[in-house]
Amino acid sequence: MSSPLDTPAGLLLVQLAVILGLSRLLGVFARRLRQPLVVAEIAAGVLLGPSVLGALAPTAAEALFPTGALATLHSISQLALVLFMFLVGLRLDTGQLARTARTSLFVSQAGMIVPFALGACLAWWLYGELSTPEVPFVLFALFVGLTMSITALPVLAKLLGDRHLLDTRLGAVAVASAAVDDVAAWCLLAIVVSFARAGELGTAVGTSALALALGVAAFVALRPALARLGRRISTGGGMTEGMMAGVLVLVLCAGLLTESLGIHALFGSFVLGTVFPREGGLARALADRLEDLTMVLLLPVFFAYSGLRTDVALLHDGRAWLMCGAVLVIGSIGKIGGGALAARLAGLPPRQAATVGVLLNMRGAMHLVVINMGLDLGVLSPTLFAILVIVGLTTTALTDPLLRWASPSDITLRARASPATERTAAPPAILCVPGPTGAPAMALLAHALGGSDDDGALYGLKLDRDRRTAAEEVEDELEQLIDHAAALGHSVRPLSFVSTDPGADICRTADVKGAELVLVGATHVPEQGQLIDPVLLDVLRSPIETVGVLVARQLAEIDRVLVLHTAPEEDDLLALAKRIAERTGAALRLVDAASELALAGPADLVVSAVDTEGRTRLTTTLPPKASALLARMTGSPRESRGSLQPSGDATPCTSAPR
Amino acid sequence: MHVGASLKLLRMDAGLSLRDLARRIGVSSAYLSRVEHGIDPPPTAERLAAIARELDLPPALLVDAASRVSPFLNHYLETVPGASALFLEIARRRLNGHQLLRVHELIAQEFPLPEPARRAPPPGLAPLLSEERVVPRLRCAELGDALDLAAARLAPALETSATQLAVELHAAEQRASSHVGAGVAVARLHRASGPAVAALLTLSPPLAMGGGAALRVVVVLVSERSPSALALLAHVSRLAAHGLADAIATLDDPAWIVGRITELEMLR
Repeated sequence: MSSPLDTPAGLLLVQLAVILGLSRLLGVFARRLRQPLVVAEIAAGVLLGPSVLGALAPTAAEALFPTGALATLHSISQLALVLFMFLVGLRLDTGQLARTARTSLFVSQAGMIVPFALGACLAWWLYGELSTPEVPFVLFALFVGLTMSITALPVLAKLLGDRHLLDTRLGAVAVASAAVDDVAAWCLLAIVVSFARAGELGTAVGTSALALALGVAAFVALRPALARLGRRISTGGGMTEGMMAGVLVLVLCAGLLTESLGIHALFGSFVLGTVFPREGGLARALADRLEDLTMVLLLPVFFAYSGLRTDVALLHDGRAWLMCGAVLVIGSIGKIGGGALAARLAGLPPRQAATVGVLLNMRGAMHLVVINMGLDLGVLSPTLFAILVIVGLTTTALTDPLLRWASPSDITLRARASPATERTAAPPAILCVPGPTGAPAMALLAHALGGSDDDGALYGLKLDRDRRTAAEEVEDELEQLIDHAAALGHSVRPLSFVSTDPGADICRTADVKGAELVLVGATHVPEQGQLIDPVLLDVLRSPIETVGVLVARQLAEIDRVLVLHTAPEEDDLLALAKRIAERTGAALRLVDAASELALAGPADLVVSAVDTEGRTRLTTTLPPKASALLARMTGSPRESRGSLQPSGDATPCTSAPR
Repeated sequence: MHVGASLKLLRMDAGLSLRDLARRIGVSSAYLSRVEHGIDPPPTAERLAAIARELDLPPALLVDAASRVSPFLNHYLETVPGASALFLEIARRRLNGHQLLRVHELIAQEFPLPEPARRAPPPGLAPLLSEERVVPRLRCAELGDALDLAAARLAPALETSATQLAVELHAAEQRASSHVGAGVAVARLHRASGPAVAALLTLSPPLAMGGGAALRVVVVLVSERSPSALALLAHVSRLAAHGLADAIATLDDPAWIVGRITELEMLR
């Protein structure tokens, strides 16, 4: 029995199986290491080439990839490139490109010019080392500059999508700069390639101009027809095989046209891809159909073919590795620096700008496409080609670690959460009316509690249980509160509705508004044995930070404030009282025990804390000489707050443990 | 009242750009933009049907939402004069929702439409509401307050925090106003998973918005992004066009409001 490797078809099948299998196998590891798949595919190519397989097992390498049979793989990889570039063109967001071009073309170009210039400078040194005199220096410099400035747009878009960054400003800037850079780079590359083939710059520019004219012609002539086709597909239910074949023939013809012009087949298919209209689903349907075959089967062949031409052994001395390091460092500096500069000019903060730079440094498949062209044209020597393959692989693989270094993982969260922070400056306070306390007292207290300059919003919340009839008078009360607060320089925002469960609605509103202070009016401090108002009870049981219960007789002004201060842990009660004193200029006096209240003289406001864990320091009625009492509810657990603890008698009393 | 605002929201929820939709239905994007901003009159019934097809909505729903029924009917009555008598019969009997539903069933059974017969009836608003999620007679200073309250009422059903929900609602509102005209705003929130629920608030006094129109009803729809979510938005726009605000503005009891809406959408 003869070996399957003996027939051309058998050999090809084995080659394809090995390439695909190894790419996918490495892909599994790449995913573990959070690397894009393209890293695995390029690495698989290098492994199968003379660098590793050829060096370790020359017989196996020769049997698997005999030198004479490489032409087939070359043809397949060319087809892969033509289809791949068609897909790249198809996926290119031309709409966004047009928008970006209008506003920030210059900014985006900074991301290209810096690496290009650095690469051209680097070429000065490399030319003497790695090139032959047959290659004109200008051509060599242009080519090295171009390889330095290319970005892997498809990989970039996928990586941003995976991290949910595409919709952020950072993502938009990164994709836009990459797209603008790449289009510019491809145009330049077209000129360079035709220059290399024609041998003189004048012819090259002429050819490129002709190609450009053809591109415009294609745009004008083909687009309406393609748009009609797209409409038919979107309304008539999908793409037929005939249409698919037609499109493929179009792609091949476009490639053929540019190839015969002396540029390269892939330019034609790329331009054709961009010409396809994005509306109507034609572009999407086509890309979906072509993507699997191209990306899974054909493109790995291209990577493998590149790998077969990469011989790392050519870097045999320290000098070669020094050059490799220099290309890597300078290329990365140029791309990261240029990208960051562009992003800074576009108005991103430094850290995000650095992230954009790192993203643009990812070279991926596009880089490989360019350097393969350079090798084919004889502009790049095999040694430089190997160096550039290593550089492309390294920068792409380094993107993820660098990205984690440059952008902390909460960057997405911050981008999302910004509307919330804009909404409120300081936590708002909610004033519940009605109150038996009356609107003036509530307004005065709200004024007294308001911070000096970082006022949160004040909401006047009026919940109306008894529907229509009560609604009218209730409006009046809310109106009064708004008027009184306005007289004190505060705007209270009205919020009233019919509620079947006012207690729950107060809590829910406080929760959704993020309120830290809720003021509730009460007719009286509950007398002995008397149950507390159910609404108040609900509010006290809620997890609202501060609930103030205002019991007022007549609160017209706040001049004298007594603080019933009993325990050191109530410093925040003191802070509350101090805030009132600061705001109103009232005299503040501390009283250590409730029994002293009676002796303390008249007061406008008594501030006291209610701790419902069994100890109560709240006077059961308003102190005789005070007009109002603000009870601040503290302590936990909240569940224990069934009712205010009844105390022995109706006179001011205390059981404060001191 | 113009249907443009509803069309805009429907288009955006369907994820289509202005140019995209215009191109698909074969009009200029400038024209579609003028329609969406209420500068041009609502499109013809035929064009609305084309839009409905692109958005995967029942055409009748959109035609009805745009109050384009009478021109359409008039045209029909001119071509088939005999039909007038039948409509008169119905009108003279003052058939209510229940009875019309029976007539509808009979017609659907006897004369099924050739193509969209497989379509399930569009979802209703009332089944998504519950009394806890209806806030009657809200007085507030800005739409944001109403959205906050809706979030507070919706949070338990969605098992999420009210604050988070409010942030999402505010962000959605910032992207595009949810005012669909006729004093009704329909805020939509598309979540990755979870039940479809709705909240409804009536505003009293009406909340003045930019452009002179005052807001009287705020509906908040939370659902997964799906064709039926789109149909629901179209359906609520239609309810708005047919005087939803007038019908429930004076009601004080959440149960009455849900009942009234059930009645309004009996035949959909």
